[in-house]
Amino acid sequence: MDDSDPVASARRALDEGDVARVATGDVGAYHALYERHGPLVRGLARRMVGAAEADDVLQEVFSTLWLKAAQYQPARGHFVGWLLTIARNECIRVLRRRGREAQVAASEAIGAMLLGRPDTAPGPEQRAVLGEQAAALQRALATLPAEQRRVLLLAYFGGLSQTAIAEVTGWPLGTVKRRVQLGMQKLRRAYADGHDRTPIVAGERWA
Amino acid sequence: MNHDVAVEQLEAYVLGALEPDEAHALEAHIADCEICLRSIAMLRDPAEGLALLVAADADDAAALPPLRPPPAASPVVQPTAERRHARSTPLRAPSRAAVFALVVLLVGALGFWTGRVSHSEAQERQLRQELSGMVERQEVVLEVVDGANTVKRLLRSTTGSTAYGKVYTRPGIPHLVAMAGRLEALADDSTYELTLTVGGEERDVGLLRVERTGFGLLVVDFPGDPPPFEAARVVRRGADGSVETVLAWSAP
Repeated sequence: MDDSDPVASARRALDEGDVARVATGDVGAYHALYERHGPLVRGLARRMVGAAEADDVLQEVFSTLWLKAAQYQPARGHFVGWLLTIARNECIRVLRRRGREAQVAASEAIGAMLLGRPDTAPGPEQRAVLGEQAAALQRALATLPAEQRRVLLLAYFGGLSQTAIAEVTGWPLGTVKRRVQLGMQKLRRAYADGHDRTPIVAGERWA
Repeated sequence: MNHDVAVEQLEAYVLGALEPDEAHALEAHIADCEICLRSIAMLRDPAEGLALLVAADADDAAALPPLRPPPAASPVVQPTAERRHARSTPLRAPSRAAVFALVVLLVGALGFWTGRVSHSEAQERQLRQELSGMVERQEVVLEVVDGANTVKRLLRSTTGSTAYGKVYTRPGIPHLVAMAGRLEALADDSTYELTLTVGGEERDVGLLRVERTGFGLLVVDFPGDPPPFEAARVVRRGADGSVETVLAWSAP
């Protein structure tokens, strides 16, 4: 994610310091990460599993963070991305428990939300972590052919395998695989293009 | 699994869309394949970006529920020499990152950036050297300035200079942090001091340590929460006893 914005760099270093301290059992750092990123984790959980179970997911994600903090490697990528991956996995576990219909419904609702919202300036969190890529990703997703977008969302937010996607959509497995490949390649290119743009400078929150 | 087959599965792998046996076979290949590892890294960022788009969109800014205590089991700590060192001096390694974070943060917070700041490594190193020496209490500073419930007061220049300052407190944290930027260089034996007005009475709180860059910092310890204050001033006190207000804030 974006490292060229000084604010993003500062936040990243702050997170990396805190997660390293959590790995040594520092409860203060654990709470600091919760305050800083709890709203994002809860946000993802609300979209994926709904408000009723979002707070349970939130607690589970931070319990996992506490236990796995030593496994986080800064070289792997941004801490927020790692944390949201834990959150997504936990949400998918909840969705799978509810069944395939719930998995499909969650990914469709997220797709409608991502496409339906106005093309506004990114919020401070998105700006801090993603910079220009937030808008680039949003645009790329909106311009993907609907079939490609659908397989990406069913997989990433619904937790469906390609085989399951083929069953749900009625498309041949080979077609599903090709759409997964093409769709992700387009997102990767859009992300890379966004990365090359001038990043937005200091966010409100730090001013 | 040969490389050509693996390459065709990377996108699905990053999305979590492979069947478990497919994923295991791919992982066995990528463990030894630098090309696939790099490709996965490039695919993972946009995927995680999608999660962030969704997460940030749904952030309703309502108060977070209290965080349950961490699970009883200790964090998984690898018993490597590096880890043991980290345990015996637990703040050392993170502190370097924290100092760096703080340096970048403070410089940003105090408005040194008028546009894009150059981030060459050499400049970062220089900044770090300049400020890390004075930020021996960086843990406290970070804790106070970085909270969701941090209270920040902006002190404006009263002399027409471009200097300004900030006073941070945070409920539940028994410290006050004051920072100032673009302060004028001090003549010999004069000092910059922070005063707070509490209950109608103005008190001296402490001296700001000022670097040659004009950046000043003061951390004040209290027995409990810092008292609520109606006004704050940074004054320049000369060796002859003269006092000049440089920065000021007062409650509206």
